[in-house]
Amino acid sequence: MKLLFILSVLFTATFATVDDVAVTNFKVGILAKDQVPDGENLKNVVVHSKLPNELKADASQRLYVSFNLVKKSDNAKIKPQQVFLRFVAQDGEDVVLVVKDDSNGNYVYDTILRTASKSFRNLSGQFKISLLVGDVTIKNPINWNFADIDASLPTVYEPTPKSQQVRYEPLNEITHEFRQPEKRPSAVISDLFTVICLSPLVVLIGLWLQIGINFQNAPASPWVPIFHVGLAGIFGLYFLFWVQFNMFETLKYLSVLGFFTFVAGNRVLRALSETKEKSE
Amino acid sequence: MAAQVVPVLTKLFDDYQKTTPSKLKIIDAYMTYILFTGIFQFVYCLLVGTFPFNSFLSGFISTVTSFVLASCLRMQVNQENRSEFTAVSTERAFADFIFANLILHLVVVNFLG
Repeated sequence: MKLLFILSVLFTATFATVDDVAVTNFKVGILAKDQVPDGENLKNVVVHSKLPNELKADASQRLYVSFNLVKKSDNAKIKPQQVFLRFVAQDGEDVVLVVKDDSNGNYVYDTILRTASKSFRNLSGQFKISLLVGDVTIKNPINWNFADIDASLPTVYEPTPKSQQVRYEPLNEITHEFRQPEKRPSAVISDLFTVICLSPLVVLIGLWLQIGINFQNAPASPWVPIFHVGLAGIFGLYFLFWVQFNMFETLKYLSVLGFFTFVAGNRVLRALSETKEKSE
Repeated sequence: MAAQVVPVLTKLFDDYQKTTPSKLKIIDAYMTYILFTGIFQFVYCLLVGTFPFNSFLSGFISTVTSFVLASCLRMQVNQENRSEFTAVSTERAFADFIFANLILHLVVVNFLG
């Protein structure tokens, strides 16, 4: 591949006529969007001189550059391989745009700056514009800074993706944050309501005493205390379940307690109903 | 209005005191107690907040369900409903009540957290 290229260059250099190139008819101007280029809004620039005034443009305007490239020997139009406009920003960043020739062999660059700014990589402000012309058959390649321009181009902030950022300083340490406990009412209010919720119990006992609760009807049998102790035990077990046991331990103890309470309750209630039937 | 309501309520209360058996009165007192406990829990929820929400729920559900169980017991024990519940003796109703309460509170305590 490399060899082919070298061969082709040698071939062109050998058989093409090597000549000097001249830039003629060079015009530059800033036009509004639909302005027709004419003698008034374009300025002629003599080759290898520089436009005295800085051009000013915003993104809605067009940059218009037109020129001819001719051989010095016979003034015939030529088409070099490389014809570029190079914009150099103040910080040294540069943008190179290709200038194409039209059907008549005239070189015209005519683009709205907003469109052109897509290749400007968010550069904006002051640029030096140079014309670059080069070819293997040209003896005097041209690099000519013909004007300065102050172009306010739209800049879009495009953040570099995180995967492409290079950071050399260590990242911040990530410390675990525990969940903040939810806001609780003050202990006084909670305790007050505990007392309030328990207060109906006092009313209940008062009402029961007033109605005349008694245990006279209880049959005289050892099952009675077993039944009541069993019930109290089950609720005590529930309290322990709340405080420390898990479900499996609770069920294990409950099966024992429940069995005895069930048998005792059965005996007590059966005795009760038998005495009632007898009395009837 | 008040003049009409007051004697009606007094009459109602007197009749209740005279005609209701003391067994039912005990159950009624128990139900009133549960009712007020539930109301106070709900007031706490409204005024202070539902922070331990599962505790509030289990407490409140406990009161509501106990109330329902007590009302079932009252219906079955009531002599006027005897014809409805011929198969259910008073003792059987009480045993059911105890058993249901034990199951209920096992779940309640489990949910209490």
